[in-house]
Amino acid sequence: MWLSAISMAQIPPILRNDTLQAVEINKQSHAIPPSVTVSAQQLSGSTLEKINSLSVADALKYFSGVKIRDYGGIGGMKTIDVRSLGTNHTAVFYNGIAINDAQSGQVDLGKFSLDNVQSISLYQNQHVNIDQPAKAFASASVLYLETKEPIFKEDRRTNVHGSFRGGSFGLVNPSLHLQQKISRNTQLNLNTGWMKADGEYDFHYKNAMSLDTVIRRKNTDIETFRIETSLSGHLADSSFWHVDGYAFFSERGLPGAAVNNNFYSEDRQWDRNLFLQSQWRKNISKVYSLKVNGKYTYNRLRYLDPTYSNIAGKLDNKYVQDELYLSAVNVFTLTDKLKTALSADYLYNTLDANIPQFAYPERNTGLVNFAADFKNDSWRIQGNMLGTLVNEEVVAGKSSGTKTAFSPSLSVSWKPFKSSYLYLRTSYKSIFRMPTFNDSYYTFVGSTTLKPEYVKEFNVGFTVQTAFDGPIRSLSLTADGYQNHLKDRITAIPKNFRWTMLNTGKVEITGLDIGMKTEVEALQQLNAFLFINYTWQKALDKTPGSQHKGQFIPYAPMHSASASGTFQYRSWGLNYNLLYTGSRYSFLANTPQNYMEDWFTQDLSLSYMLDLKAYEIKIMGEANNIGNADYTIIRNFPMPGRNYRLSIYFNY
Amino acid sequence: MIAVSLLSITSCKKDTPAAPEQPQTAVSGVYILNEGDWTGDNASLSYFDLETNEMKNDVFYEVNSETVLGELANDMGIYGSKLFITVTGSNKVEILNATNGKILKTVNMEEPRYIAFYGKYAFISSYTNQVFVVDTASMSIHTKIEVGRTPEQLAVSGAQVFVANAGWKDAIAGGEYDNRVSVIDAENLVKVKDIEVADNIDRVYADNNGHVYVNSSTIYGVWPEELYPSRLYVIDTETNAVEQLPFGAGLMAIAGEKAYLASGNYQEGKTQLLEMNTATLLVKPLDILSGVDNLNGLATDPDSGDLWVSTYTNPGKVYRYKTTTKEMDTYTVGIFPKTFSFKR
Repeated sequence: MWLSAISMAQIPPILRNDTLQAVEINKQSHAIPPSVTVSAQQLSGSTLEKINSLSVADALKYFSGVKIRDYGGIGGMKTIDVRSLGTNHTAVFYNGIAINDAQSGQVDLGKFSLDNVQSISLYQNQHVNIDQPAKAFASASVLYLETKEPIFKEDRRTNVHGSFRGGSFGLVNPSLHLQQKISRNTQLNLNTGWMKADGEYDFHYKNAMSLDTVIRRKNTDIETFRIETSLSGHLADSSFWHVDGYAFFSERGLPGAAVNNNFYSEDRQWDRNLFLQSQWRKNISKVYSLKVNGKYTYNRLRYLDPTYSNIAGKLDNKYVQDELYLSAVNVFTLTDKLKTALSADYLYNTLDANIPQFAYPERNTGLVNFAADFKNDSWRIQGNMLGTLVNEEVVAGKSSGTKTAFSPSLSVSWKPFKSSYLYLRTSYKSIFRMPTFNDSYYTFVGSTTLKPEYVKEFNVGFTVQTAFDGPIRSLSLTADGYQNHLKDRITAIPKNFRWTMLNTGKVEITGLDIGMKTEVEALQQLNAFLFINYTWQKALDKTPGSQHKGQFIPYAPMHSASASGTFQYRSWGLNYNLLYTGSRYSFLANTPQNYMEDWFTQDLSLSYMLDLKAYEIKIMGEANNIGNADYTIIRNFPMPGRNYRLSIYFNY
Repeated sequence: MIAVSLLSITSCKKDTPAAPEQPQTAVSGVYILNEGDWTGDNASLSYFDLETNEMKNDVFYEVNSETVLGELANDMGIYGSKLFITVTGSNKVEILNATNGKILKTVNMEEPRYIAFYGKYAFISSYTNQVFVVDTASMSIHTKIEVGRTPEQLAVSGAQVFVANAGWKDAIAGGEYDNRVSVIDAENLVKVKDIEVADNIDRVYADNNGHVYVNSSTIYGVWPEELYPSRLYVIDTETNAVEQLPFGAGLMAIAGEKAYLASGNYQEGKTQLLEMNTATLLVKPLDILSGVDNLNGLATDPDSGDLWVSTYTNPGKVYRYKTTTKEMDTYTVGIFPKTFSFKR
């Protein structure tokens, strides 16, 4: 994960639905995407519970146009790559506020348990509601995680949920969820979980023609402890406030790449991720409402190679990041058709590390966004202009200095027929990502002369939805064609006897995402929810003069698909998932050596709900990768074969 | 650099009767070792047939029933009838039949780096801060010799093996670079002395005029500062005096009185090839391959004098510069080609 290099010879290394007021198919419907006027996808509620997932990353695999870069196993890092733009181009939001990693620009979604997640939504470009912080407009796509909101039946003041998961990889994962009504207007939500697993599994390694060996993946253990708490309520002046506290601690083994004659690593990683965030919002008048957000984040990462061949006998690196975030969102509801929002955000980031020759960077970011949203019965037009001012300072060396940029976006959707729920949409967005602290200041490799990586996104699509009275309750079909242009791609390249970060690449991604969802209700008590997604994509290197021009960029398959069926009969639930990833290359050169074969996996789960009036007990058994497919997502980081989980949920 | 070790071997053959018989036939082909990428497990061996002018890739894989060469192959050398390949990431040394590329033996060894030969032994530096002495006849580890920290390249001059100790693995963890060349008595297999040269020295070459060339890699401060730019040092093996030249040369290929160098700072911020007279140490820039800034290996054909240059590219690109006709040929090889070995 960490490349270290001195010279070339020394190679080292979410969201309440913006429901469509128009579409009232079924309030509980799974089939309603979070928006039809912009390209968006969502998994929520009971579907999320049944979809054979341990973490947010597992669930995201089923979104179209999304690839999860998974280093394998429970502890393996899992990051999101939307429409082949790379992990750094997707922002992750937790209850409406961004989770940042200024160091790497990547969020390990394997760290986020689904225990406390109500919904996962992914928007191309940005959220359909313009009353968002400016930061929410600042990336090519945005992932929203919404935590569970307490619902108190009748006169109850306390809800208690408990769960226990266990299974393959020596997994032990108890969690407890407590919801308490403190007063009429105040409620507390507390979710805590502990997970421990040895993470070990067998994989195949082909050493030679006749030597296909089974090897145990080792040093894959992981232990995590997580507490998520939120306190929310209404004040006397009818304003709403919400405070989230999040703490995550983990220790894990990093098994490393499984290469010839060297299958084991003893590397370790420790994480401490803490944040406290708060939101307050108030409708000040009919026209004007205000939302204020604040957040403090502390992230500590320790990486240890205990077998490093130096005098100390180890490489022990610690990185500490602090972030302070403030945001104000002013929303003006001018008429029932026109709304505008003016958001201003401020971020302060620092990175500290115990590595020699470190710059100790400090970044101030100011973001101002103006957005307008017009809608009538058949049109919805949204536009925004984001202004960014970034200034970096360093204790030592030379900083990246000051950068300013203006990034616009525009989206138009049209509902051509009054009686039919057909929506046509198109959008354009110009955006960029800043070089990360690693890109700019990573000792020996970083370069502060880096420019941001620019993206232009074009999207044309439609959604058509129909509700029926028959057994097929609803049907929705979505298709989006897109083209993304990425320039000044930040890449490590060898130059003048060292690796250095340069803006060199140009990438053009042409794609088509197609999705179909349907809800079926038969035999009165049999409900089924089915979806199928397919992505066709050509993500090609277009770097002028490059020897790879016209070839596929790494890890960008031409074809990928997912399908899922969730069935509910009385107290029984069944879920089946299928995931397919086409052949791709692990490197810019599309040569046979860099070729990676296609793979598909299937998961199955069965659940039973026992309703004992005072409390409910649900039991779920999962079998993952039932075909025992032998595959890798990241080259030489083998994925586990068939594995099982048994979960017991208790609700009081 | 293998060309270099080969040449130095040939040159000291008269003093080393224990060396295996070198068939005195003409060079018939060139092996090219491709490092492969980090975590890639895709190192490979290519072979260029000088008689048919054909480049064959994945030779090791094909000849050895699809055996994987491994992660980060670093160096190779032909000695007698055998071809030795060090594979750093795969903790092994592959010993092949140099004629057909078939595995004779795989020797496990932690993080092997560079290789040089003397007498009946192969000297292989390892990140364990040792030089492994491998008996080239029995193909087993004969002994280990403690050297400095993070040893990299080694070269043979006379009956001595010079090992460049970089110490970068300590420096990266907050410790100090090493600055010594360890000198091994190749007859008695003991370290006889250390010669202080400069911090972060990782390349060493020997000529026929009693010079040992040692190159320090650039030491970077906080970007963009270069604390200590790369420099080439010349050790006079008679007096052990060390002379610093005003530029660095990470790659060298020595052919008799002439040496080719690749420097990243002979002219500031530019990678270029130089030619040096090994008697006078005078240098002049060459006007070939200007603009190619990702050089990874340099060698000269001991028969024809052709210059072979490998680049840090995937798929790998190597250049063959025919010194007689001044023609430049390019070939596509495996991932990140590095080292050349000339087969007789």
